[in-house]
Amino acid sequence: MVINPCPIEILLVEDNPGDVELTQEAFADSKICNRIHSVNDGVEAIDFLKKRGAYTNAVTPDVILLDLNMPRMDGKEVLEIVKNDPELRLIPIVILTSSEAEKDVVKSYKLHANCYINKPVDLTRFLEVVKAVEDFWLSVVKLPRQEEAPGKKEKRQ
Amino acid sequence: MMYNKPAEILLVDDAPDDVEIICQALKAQQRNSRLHVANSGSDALDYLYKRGAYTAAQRPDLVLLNLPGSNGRDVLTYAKANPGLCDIPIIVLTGGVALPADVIDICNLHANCYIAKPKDPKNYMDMLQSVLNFWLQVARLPSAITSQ
Repeated sequence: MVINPCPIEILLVEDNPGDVELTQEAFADSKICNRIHSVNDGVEAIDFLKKRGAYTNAVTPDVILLDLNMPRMDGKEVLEIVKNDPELRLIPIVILTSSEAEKDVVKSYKLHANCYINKPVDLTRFLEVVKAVEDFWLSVVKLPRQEEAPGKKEKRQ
Repeated sequence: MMYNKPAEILLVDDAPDDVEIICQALKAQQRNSRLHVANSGSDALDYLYKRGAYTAAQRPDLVLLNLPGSNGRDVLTYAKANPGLCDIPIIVLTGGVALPADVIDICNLHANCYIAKPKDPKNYMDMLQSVLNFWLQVARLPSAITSQ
């Protein structure tokens, strides 16, 4: 198991309040120290990542959980912007979506999503999947932001 | 998640002991898989590009890249730069000390994730099971038919 420095900052980009609540609860139970920041759509996500508007003091997340179908700006647009930005492209993006369309899977990977996960409808299975995401991305994977030089990382609040 | 077809996995690895451990880890998985092994970077690229001895190769659903140095880096660079291959998830496994600069370099090349192999064999097998469980049971892998 990898010990990533604490807390791991997670940006959740999700427009369904029920899914936001479930995901936050699942991560709150984690043995791995983490902090979830939640935004409701792609426009807010980019503001958060670029630290503008209401998010001038936002931290840079260690990992992003990204829904695809959202109002104003969808997940694929967010993915494209983030993965083309030299300041942001290292952040792993886990697509967490109800879309089972194969074209969405392929397009997301082609835009360099780190992985693609279908959100189950069943509550128990949804929580299992979120737990699996947490177990893998927070304690098996080496997160690149955790490896950056101390001068590049913001002081963690 | 139920799958009908076995997962096609390309393992790029020049160490026979490692290949054996990964074979064992795959056998323990619920999802069936077919493992193809390339022992060098050039072999792996021939496989991915279906050339030389590999004109009939199956497009992999997942690549496990366990090759140190520039050979492994070249596989990642060429695969992720190719529009017909860049969607295939590539999991980079590395032994020894994972220097921060290496992690950042590999992630900049769009590796899907970077995993540092534990030295202890039991921990290594546990880690492999976690990696395979996640990528074969939880994550959705891109379909070869839609991608091409």
